Amino acid sequence: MINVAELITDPDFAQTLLVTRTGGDYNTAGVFETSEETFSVTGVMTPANAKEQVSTPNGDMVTGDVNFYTLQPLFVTQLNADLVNEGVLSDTIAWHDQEWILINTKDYSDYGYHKSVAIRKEGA
Amino acid sequence: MATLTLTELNTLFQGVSVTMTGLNGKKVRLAYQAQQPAQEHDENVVYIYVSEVDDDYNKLRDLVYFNSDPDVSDLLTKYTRVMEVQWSCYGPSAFDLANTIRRSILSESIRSVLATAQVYPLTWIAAPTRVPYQFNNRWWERTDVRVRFNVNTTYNEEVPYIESAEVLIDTVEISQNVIIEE
Repeated sequence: MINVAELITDPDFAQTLLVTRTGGDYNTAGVFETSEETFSVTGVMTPANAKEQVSTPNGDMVTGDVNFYTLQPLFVTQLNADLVNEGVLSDTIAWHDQEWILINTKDYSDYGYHKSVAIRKEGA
Repeated sequence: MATLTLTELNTLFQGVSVTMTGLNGKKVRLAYQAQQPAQEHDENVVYIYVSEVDDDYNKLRDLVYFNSDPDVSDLLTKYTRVMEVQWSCYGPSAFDLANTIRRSILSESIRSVLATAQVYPLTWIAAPTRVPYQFNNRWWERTDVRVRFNVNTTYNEEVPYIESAEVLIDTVEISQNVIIEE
């Protein structure tokens, strides 16, 4: 199989992305309590859909999504994702002064990379 | 007891739900948190959703004025809000958990806990609804039960007195005007 990992780190395409991972556990009051850690990954970003304005009764909102290609897997919300937390919430990535939250991931690790799709975290 | 906030209601109902079901508090969860992982297929978990519902009884207002200060009066407004709590039970024991909640919510021990917060269950409780659903090509057990509660609600506010009024009497001919200014 062709391993295309070198394209993910190719300086012609790659950039440094700041990832925030949120892990946590349910407390005895039934609330999911979280703690965050932030780390950098190298990856390639491409737009997935247009930045789009949505008119709502309470004002204009903005949506849009982007693709991230990375060497290591990023997380969507899941239980037992690591050995520390009961669960993790979807990773968020800082890019172009916006927070992007993962909504799906694709495991192409057999070819040397992972693809993730993230949507804007803020609504406007 | 003043006006119970949603957070206070959530805490109250989560607490009694732990008692009723015997589940660990981590398994009796509040629904619609900003983000939270869902339960696993074989995990018994109860989610609580509190909302206010319309009712003839929540239209009535009881207003009581009482004087505690020479400059202002206190206005006490008392009324009843009607809350509906939905328990969505998941996992292999979902059906039995819903039945337990429906029965236990009217028990003396649970009603006495609720009464300390002036929350009172209505005894007309519909049968639980079993609604298994398909996800990832498997059926997941779910049973819902809903109960309504009368929630005694009060709040105080200060109402200023009219401290003085100037009265002017105009005695021109037959007309007589009375002007009262605050």
